[in-house]
Amino acid sequence: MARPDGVRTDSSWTEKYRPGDLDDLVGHIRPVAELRAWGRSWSSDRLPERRALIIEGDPGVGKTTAALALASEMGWDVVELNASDSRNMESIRMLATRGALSRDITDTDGYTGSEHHRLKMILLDEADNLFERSASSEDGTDVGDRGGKRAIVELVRMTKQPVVLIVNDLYGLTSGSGASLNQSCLKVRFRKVSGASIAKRLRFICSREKVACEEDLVIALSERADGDMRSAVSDLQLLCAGKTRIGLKDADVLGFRDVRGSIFETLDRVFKASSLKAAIKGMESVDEDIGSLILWMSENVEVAMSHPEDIDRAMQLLSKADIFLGRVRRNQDFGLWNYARKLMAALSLARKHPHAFKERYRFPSYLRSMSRTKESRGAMREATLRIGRVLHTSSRTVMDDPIWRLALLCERDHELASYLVAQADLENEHLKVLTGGRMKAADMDEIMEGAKALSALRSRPRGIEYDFQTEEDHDEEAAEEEPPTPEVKAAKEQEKGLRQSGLFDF
Amino acid sequence: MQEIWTEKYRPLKLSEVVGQTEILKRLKAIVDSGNIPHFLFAGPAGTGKTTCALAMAREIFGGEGWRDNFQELNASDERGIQVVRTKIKSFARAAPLGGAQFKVIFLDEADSLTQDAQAALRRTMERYSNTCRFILSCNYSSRIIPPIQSRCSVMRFTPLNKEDIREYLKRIERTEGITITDNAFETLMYISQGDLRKTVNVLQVAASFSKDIDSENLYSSSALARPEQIAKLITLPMQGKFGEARKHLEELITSGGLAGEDIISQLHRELFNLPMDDDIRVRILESIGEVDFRLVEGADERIQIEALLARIQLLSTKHG
Repeated sequence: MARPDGVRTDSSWTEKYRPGDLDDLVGHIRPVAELRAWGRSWSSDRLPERRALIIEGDPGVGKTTAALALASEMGWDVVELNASDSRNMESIRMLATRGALSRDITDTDGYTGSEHHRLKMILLDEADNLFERSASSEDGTDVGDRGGKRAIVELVRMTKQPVVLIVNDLYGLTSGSGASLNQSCLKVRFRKVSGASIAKRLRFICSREKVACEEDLVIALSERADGDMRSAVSDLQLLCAGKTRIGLKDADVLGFRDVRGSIFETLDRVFKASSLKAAIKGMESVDEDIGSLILWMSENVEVAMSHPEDIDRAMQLLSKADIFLGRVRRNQDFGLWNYARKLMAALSLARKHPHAFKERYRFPSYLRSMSRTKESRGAMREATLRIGRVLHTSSRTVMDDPIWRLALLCERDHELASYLVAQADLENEHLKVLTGGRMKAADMDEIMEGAKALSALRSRPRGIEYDFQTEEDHDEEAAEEEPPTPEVKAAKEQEKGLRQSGLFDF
Repeated sequence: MQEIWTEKYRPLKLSEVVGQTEILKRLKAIVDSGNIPHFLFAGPAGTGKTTCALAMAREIFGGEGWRDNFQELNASDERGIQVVRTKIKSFARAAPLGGAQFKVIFLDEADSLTQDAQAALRRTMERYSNTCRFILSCNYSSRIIPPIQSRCSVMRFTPLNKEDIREYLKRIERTEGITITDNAFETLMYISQGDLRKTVNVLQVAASFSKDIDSENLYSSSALARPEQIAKLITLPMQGKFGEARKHLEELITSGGLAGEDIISQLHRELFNLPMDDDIRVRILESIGEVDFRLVEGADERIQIEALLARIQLLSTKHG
């Protein structure tokens, strides 16, 4: 996990393809916005109230990448401490005194009397699990990170430079002597990267590296990564070594089963089981997540049976199993999994009519097409959102009804289409998904041109956009929840003088 | 210039709004007083809730700058608590511009706000009521938590009657130079069920084919615009093509970007447009309802709708 400090070599793809720009970080729109806001809070002459930021998230989701990208966007230098450094109190205190207290440092080793204010981000990676361990460090001394947490608290209190603490587990940092960090730091959480985002990145890397990678392998790698972009990228690099074409069969190297092999056997064991008991047993051996197993099963019901009664029986069983899975998702009531499992095993009983197995089992096309069509779905959602603003309604309402008529109107009347495009500020891709890809390129161009001409006349579609304020409101909100004592209330009312006491009394 | 008629003919003043006589009287009186309470507009789609909110804001703030003190948000698009904490709050606490006494936030489809968000909203409404008034709109007021309801003046919008819609359509007929026969009007009423937005929308499509609007023209243009893709989810399994229906569903979800709930509500509508034995229709209706219920409970849209397709196939082979 440790990244050689400051080293950027092309030999590691996780470094080579580490996004250098915040905008390239996939799947973290909100946390990125929060990072930026915090970064901007350093732009004024006054020190911001929150001078330290904690980035929390699972391994490989892009925490360090985000911190480095923020520094580069803000034009800050970076001083980085991570697992390979000893982080005892002394080294952090040194950093604090030599670097963090001054606003005029320019290079790694300390302060100078430089004229330009170049801030220096102090980046502490893996801040949750390295402090206050008494285990001996690599060089044989027994100092380790002991007292490090207290030093961090001090650093955060004293710093005049932006401090970023990166953790997997927030509690590891804020427990015990780190408790005050809860208040003094801004916290930003990075969630797992979606399988689709990982798959997209892997495809991009493959195209850059000129490796032809089977889509099944891309899916398998991105699913297996379980939100860890870094592990997916390094797995891919390992598989690609010295090859120009790779597929699922190459994945054995990684020590992971050929997904298809084992799941196909499971399907076979269930669909051809001699009894319910045998089917349940057959399900036990599979290592697949039950949520994707149900997709595999529904994909292959048609392979395993053909009579409408059988198909109906099978699908009703799956739909009931799915209800239990839904309850698990909603209430985290994992005990219900057992019912889902057994109902799925009962598929073995669904086939009452003779059926010849002619086809091979199929990979769930759904998994594939969901990742393939992510962009067009995104474009559709964006298009309906923008149209909704013009029509004063929600994207749901647009999607549910007028969209079909609007699309028809746009196809029939290009002038009207231009008007809609200009009003809603639609782009080419939106127009394309809106009309279901039926419209000719020349017609689209004509509409877009017309829209440009109209844009000059365009009225403002919305009110003023207000800046987002985040996080810090949180505490304020909690404070409001406390019912004020009568005295405080009276005092407040007096102070405000204008407080509303009745509905029409303003 | 060609425009979208629902916007082109949206009344700018309260006095131009059709129907809702009692509500309009009260709104007018309140606007004249120069100060408004928080409002909750409840009622079905296309009955004038948004129009009244926009018109009120125009009349209260007047002039070109009315939008500076008016913020429109759709809770269905931004339903989380975060929107209350961020957008709504920062608008609410900024001072009114241009000498206005207060600002107005119009929060449309407020019934889709989560409970958490509604609770947070309640505090925001209270805290900034000096400078900011809220107009919430919803289809069902029962989905708004009682503490918010009690802070609002509740106005119940009713479906528009035929005379009101006729009056409104006359304005469009005059300006656009179209004619709507009596028969066509009845058809419009049938298609759009008192939803004025839908009425005008259907009318505009029909008018793009011919300025003389008759019944036939309405049916054929609305059939053209009708999402046949949805109907296929019923017709394919009825022909015993479960596999094709499955693929088609996948298309709708992945490429078309439709959510399971949207598909279900459209299926419900389409079911009554398709020729079939009424006994089968009722059985399918029952299954659609069951799927709808399960989706609300958090089941997976794909598995559930696939099961529905299998059921439709079974029902039609039994009878056919």
